[in-house]
Amino acid sequence: MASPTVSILEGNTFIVSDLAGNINATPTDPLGLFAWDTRFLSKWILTVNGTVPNVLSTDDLQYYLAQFFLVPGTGTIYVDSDVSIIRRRAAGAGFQEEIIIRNEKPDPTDLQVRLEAGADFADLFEVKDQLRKKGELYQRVRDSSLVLGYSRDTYKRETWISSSVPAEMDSRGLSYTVHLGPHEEWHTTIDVRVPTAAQLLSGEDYAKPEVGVPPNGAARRAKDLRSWTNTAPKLSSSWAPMERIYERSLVDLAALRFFPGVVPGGSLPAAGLPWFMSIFGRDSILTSLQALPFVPEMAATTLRALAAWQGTTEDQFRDEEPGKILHEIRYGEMTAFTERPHSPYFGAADVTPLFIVLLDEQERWTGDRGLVEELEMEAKAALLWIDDYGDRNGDGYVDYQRHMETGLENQCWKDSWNSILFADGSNSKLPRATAEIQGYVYDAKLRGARMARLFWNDAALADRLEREAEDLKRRFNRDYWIEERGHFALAIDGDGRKVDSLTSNIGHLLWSGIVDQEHAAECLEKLLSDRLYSGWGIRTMAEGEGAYNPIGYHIGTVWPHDNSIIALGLARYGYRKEAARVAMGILEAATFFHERLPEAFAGFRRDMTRFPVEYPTACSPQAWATGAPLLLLRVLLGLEPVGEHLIVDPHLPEQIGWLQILDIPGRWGRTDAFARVREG
Amino acid sequence: MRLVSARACWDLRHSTARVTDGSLIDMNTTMSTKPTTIQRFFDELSLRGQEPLLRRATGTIEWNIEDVGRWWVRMNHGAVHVSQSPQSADCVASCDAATFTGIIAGKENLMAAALRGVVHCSGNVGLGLSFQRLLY
Repeated sequence: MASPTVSILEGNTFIVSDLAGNINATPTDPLGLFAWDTRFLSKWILTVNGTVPNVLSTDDLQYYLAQFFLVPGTGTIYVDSDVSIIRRRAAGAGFQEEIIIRNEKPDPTDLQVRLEAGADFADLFEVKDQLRKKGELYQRVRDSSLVLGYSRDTYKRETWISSSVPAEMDSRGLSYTVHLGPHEEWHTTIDVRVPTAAQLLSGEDYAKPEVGVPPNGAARRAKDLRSWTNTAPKLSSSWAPMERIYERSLVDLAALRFFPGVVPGGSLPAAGLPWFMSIFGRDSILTSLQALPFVPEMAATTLRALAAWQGTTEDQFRDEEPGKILHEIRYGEMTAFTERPHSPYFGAADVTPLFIVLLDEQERWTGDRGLVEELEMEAKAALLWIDDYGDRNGDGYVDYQRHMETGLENQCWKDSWNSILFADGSNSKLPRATAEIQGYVYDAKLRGARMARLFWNDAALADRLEREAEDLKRRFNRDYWIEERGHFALAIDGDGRKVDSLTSNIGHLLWSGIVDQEHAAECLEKLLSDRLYSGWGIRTMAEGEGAYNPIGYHIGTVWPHDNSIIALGLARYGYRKEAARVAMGILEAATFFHERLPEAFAGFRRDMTRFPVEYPTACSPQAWATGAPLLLLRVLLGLEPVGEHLIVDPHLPEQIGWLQILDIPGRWGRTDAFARVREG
Repeated sequence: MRLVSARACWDLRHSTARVTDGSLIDMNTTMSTKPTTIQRFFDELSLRGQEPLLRRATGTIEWNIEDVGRWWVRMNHGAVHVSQSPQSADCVASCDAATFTGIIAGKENLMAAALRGVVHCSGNVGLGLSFQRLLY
């Protein structure tokens, strides 16, 4: 089991340390100071008189701020320490760390304080995939700073470390000789600087940080976070954990904000810590959608940024095609040397229809028709991609197949290589047309039709899209339905076979509305059956399938975001009670994770474990897990924009007596929603 | 109304760009790194006039190609204007001739090149990267 860690972050910079604030990374674990998908510090260890102090307590006060209280090791618990140490660390363009050492006794004391520093400049892909470096590491002391560097041809990355109190610097760290009189205090601020975007791309030497200037902007960030939470709707509930879960989601969403250069000033959700602090088409879209009733402004930035990067050409290395919406952007060494295709990478078949879905949905909530008009060309190009490149074998269904080995084998949300499997556990053939993508396409066509009619003055397009959607629905219910198993196939594979495992994907079909009424009841029955429903949530794959594994990433674990979408789907088909049950299971699970849902947890039966079992390498916080409680609140309250109004049609589970949300923003201005559990 | 295929539609959008003095330039064939190739690229760019893919970008990029010359590409809601007279730029991009011909031939990705340090980009970096959309 991994040791506990403390993470703070700001933009795409994050720092993961142990509880004493130290970083001692091995090549393959995600401890360190990361920025631009690169580890700028892999070693950062504080010692006093040669030993690592013990931890008294650790606080991650805010997402960008952590505090560590330490005492020097005395070797025995029977001797009180005479010295106390506080490390206070704030993230931002690297990090700034204040170290305060206090002499608690009436006699003077002399201390040797040392910070061991090192950087391996690993690309996150190298950390994840355990690869070796190809360039040269170097260290030097320059301009009163310790510079840790890495170069490979023209590629150069440096970490600059400086101190407000002069330190002795050598290639492996900083040392201080500290003399403290009785009850005296000593402190220094250490600035660990990584390049800004401008510095990274300009090729100039990094500006030497101004030593001694309070650098961290913590006050600005505190103000920004206050304004973020103050602007959001206010929630109260008789079920006490609800308020804490809601607060946690709001703050984590703030933490995961990523400021893409292509949309000045705007922020969108990055996918998750530690592996995915970057723009991901799918995650950014779905999180923006989950958050629409609470922080609607993220959707506009997400759409504009993705539009700015929309595919323009055929590029097999990047799986790029005209009109396609990107999967992922990365900034590390392997991307720079085109050893990975992420500049950006387009290997996702579902993101392009989801782009249309979000564009329409944001208009329904915010009334921002300007954005729909502004993005008309991009939306139409996306609709064209669906029919042309999206369907590569011409069978009328959007499918995927990577062009190169460096691409993703599965280009749907279940993007591990072994997720689209037959019930006997065997793998399916490429190209694969997974079911939920067809649902998204159906929804995208209907929403495209609505936008064409209302905002683009294009009735012909609207008519055509509606005809195509109707035809797709008819074909889908015929071609994907497996009569003998009583559910929809997970996919149709390259051999034209129905991939027959029972999976959570059928819940997404309800959300998109592609399911014929005659099959809806069977979808409901399967989703809430013991095979799929664990008691905490709906598993990605049903118990009893050949490949089922309760701790398999996409073949048995429970994903909160998946469940939030399924709950919305159940509600769409009128299964409000069951939607509330799914919502409640996930919300109760959150209380076991300090109100912060991980991206996934194990699919073990609830009555077997009594608590949700953490998935070993799950990301946390992760954007769409953070967004899940927000979407579940929408489901419970039955929030739905209709015309210029917000309809509130609640259906609460028994555990939640009452629930209210004040000041829900939207095209109606601000409005309130109140719900009480139904009697009887 | 009948919609043409995405492929045809996007090619259509760009076809005018490829036509200069009545001849078609195929950006995907091997290009020499001779200054004339670069000059010709900018000449064509100036003939493009309207570029819908760049209607979201506004500002001027200065391209500084080592030992070849400097060009200022002004973009204003899709209108592209190219000049060799010095003017103020929102973004300055510089590289050598081989890198630039690689970029315009589609053999080199601008973002990867910038991350690697073979293209230096200062000022409005987002604007600079949008230049990739002029290439295909």
